[in-house]
Amino acid sequence: MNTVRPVLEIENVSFSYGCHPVLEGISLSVKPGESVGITGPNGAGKSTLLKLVVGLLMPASGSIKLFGRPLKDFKEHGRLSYVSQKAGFINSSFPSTVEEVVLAGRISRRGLFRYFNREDRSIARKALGEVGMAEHLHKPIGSLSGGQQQRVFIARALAGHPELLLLDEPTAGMDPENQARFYSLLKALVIQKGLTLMLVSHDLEAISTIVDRQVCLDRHLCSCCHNLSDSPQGVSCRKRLWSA
Amino acid sequence: MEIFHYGYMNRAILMGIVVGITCPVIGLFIVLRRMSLIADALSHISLAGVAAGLLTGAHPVLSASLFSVCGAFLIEKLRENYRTYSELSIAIILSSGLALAAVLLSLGKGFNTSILSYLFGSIILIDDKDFRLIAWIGLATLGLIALFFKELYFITLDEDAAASAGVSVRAISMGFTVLTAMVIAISMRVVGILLVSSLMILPVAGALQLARSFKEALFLSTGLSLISVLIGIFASFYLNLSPGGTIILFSVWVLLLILAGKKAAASLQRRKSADKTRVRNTSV
Repeated sequence: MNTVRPVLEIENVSFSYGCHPVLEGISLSVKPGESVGITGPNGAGKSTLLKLVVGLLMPASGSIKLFGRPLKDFKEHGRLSYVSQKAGFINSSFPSTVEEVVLAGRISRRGLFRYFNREDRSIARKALGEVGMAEHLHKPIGSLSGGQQQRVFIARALAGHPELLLLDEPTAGMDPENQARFYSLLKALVIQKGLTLMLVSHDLEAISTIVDRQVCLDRHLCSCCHNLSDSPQGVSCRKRLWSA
Repeated sequence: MEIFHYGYMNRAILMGIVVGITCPVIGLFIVLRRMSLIADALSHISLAGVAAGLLTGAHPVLSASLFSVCGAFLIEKLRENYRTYSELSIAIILSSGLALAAVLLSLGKGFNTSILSYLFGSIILIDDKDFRLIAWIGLATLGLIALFFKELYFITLDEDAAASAGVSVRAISMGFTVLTAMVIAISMRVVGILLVSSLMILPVAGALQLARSFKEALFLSTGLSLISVLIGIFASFYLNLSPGGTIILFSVWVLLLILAGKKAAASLQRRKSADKTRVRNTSV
């Protein structure tokens, strides 16, 4: 029997901030090459779930495995790249060129006590080219528009040559036109590189074209909607989101 | 030049260079991580360390380092109790440090003059032991920053992304706070406890107005700080002024100059583009 080991296995995970439960009994498995969208209203725990997966938060109960290893033993950080929601709120006067930002994505591959070399620089330039931002290499990051900055952060994530890409609300603050352009670029990159994608967004419709399935989070519930437009789960999911 | 004929002045200039480089290097990360208040809190607890040193006969720079490092650990520990109001932990350490210093100073009634030299800096009192200690700590600090530069940059840019990339954010942040504490302790001889945080912040504030990259910001703030420190030391020798005060006043002056220059350049640019539009409109 041909069994493919999941990239990510979340089993019965619960988490609370103080005495406020945010996630309860979440189970989810993501196969290699799969694109999963995580949607839900504000405060549903979408970002929290992503933070649990990358180890920024510890679950109160349950287990998370990355590439078959329990999270606490997972050391191959280069295999995943995470772009937080905070990345989009970079201070416009932060003194940094686009190249410096993208090079930071090479850290997990370069390791401690070693400086970035010519190879890292060429990988960073290539990653910028892939998101269509090559000509902005030496520009200050603060001089770019929100959409351009997000593409730079994607380049930073790609520069680490990850297998799993985790993005938290990457289009926050973008207008619909730029958002559509961003998602079509993302879809092309994910297919071209065979990446596994976990994408958090409150906008169920916007990401429906680029993910294979969506997971709807609503406080303590988690339901997988394979085909949002048709399935009863999808319909109930939509109703919940729209009423929220 | 007369200034170089005195052994203590040579020591003061070399020490000024060490302090003038380490302060803005640490300061750049402090400012960008919005931790400016930490430098103030640690400098106040250093004052308690100096008082304890003068009282017990220990070397004041060493006792100040010890107090400052302990203060750094306490701030991190207290931060866990006040997660949502993390600046509270800094304020608690700041006031505790100052209160402890006041009590220790009142116990040793005879050292009013020497404490002034620590409050505002004094280059005359720098001896060989001070110099060696400060040079070693300064060089070790710069070495460690260079060693962990890319990790510190990533943490400053995006702490969450750095942690997910396997950077030990907690350990490096703690180590950095300890380095900050050490740099404050060594800088107090030159600029004084009350002004050390200014030397960490003012040159960086100036550099941020001009720099386009992180490395540019690092070199610019170091350059601005070195100019201010050397001018301050020279002024204190020839005009008999407080070195700390002169250094910081000169830093403020440089910052104002940069801000004014930037404003003038922007208005010149606006006028030029307005002229261009006018010429284009007339030709049409």
